[in-house]
Amino acid sequence: MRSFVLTFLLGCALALTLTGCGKLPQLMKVNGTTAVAVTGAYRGLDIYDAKKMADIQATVKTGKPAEAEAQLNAYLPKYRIARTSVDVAAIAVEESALFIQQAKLMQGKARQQKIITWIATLTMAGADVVAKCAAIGIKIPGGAL
Amino acid sequence: MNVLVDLGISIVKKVWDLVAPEDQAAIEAQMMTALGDMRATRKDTGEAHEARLAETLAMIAEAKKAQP
Repeated sequence: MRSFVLTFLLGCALALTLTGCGKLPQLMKVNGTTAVAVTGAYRGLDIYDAKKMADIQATVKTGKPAEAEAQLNAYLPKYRIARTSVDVAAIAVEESALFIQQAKLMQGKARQQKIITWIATLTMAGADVVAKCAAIGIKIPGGAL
Repeated sequence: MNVLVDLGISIVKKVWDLVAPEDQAAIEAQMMTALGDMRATRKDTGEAHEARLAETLAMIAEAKKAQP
């Protein structure tokens, strides 16, 4: 009887583990957290961009348009690299949100594997955003990944 | 016996994860709010940058024209 109960409980634990249902809320949390970080990155980049453009416009007002143009040409590629990185992370968040809706209808080990893969993808995308923003001196307001 | 108790607790926890839909619903609602905020911020900041860039380019062009 005891061995039957033990086998039954082991079977239940294994079945529940393999369904992966417990991991979807985790992916939802990571998705939400990454979305918050990406939003913070967009805002940080916006503040940085406003300041840079104001500085360049101030240079124009001192009667140095050529110098201002050179400053703009030096600045824009850096902005675009950071912005692209944040956009890539935003796209990853959108795609994982789409997958979350699909995952509700899925079962099994493949589902669990995809959830784990998405968690890793979002984590890497978020880390890339932090690194690219930090490279041009932007700290993401409100925090952390 | 301890193994059975640990297994029992583990199963109860996993069943709780399954049958507490309000927790998952709350997490999902928070996720959707964050998603909406991200989309709006992406759009607004993109437009703001384009507006600043256009203004700055116009200023540079004007200043260059004004120069002898």
